Amino acid sequence: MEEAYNRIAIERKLRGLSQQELADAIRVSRKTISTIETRRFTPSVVVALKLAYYFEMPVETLFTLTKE
Amino acid sequence: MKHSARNPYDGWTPDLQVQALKRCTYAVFIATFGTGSLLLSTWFELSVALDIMLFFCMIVSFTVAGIVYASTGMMSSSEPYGLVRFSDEYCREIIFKGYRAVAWWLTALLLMGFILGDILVSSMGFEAMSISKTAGIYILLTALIWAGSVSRALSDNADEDTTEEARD
Repeated sequence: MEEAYNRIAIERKLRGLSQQELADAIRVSRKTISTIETRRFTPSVVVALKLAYYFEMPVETLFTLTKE
Repeated sequence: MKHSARNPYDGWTPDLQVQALKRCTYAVFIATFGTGSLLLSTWFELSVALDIMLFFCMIVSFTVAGIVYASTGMMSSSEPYGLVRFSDEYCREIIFKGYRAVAWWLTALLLMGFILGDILVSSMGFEAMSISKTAGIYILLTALIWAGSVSRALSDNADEDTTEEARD
């Protein structure tokens, strides 16, 4: 099964945010953010879009099928 | 969000949901212990002292489980007196993982029972179990497997945030 890679940890750290701050901003739990970052949980389209809107970047930049 | 309309305090935050789920698993573990004590004292002919001890364990377990459940924060949800709904995606995911674990483990146990049940009964001198005892054991196992699966997923702290330390 193909896995999705993501840049959430990188983008979050670039903006100096903690996992809790990001979680509060998009109204999910900190656990959701931490498990997405460690790729133990693949989020739904809704959460992926919320993250993309928050970081102001296309969702396909934030989530990819190939490791950068 | 949908629950805000029913609950004006809107206290059912995603982080509270994670905490509530964790405490709910503790309540399930404790209640399972109480139910196990009840079933043991009902099914087997035990000495009076052991019966009293199991009865005491049952009362304490159900009381503590009730207190733990009351402290989960589920009263902040949109349905405080009904079926609690989790809106956080990770909570929903691990609840479903728990159900999946229950399905797999119970199917495996049923398969083992189907293959080895008669052999165990004849070779080890077990009495054939009644349907009610089998159902009781399955209820206990279902609760334990679900709570174990969920609490294992929640207690994994390998993903703790280090950004705060990095900032300092």
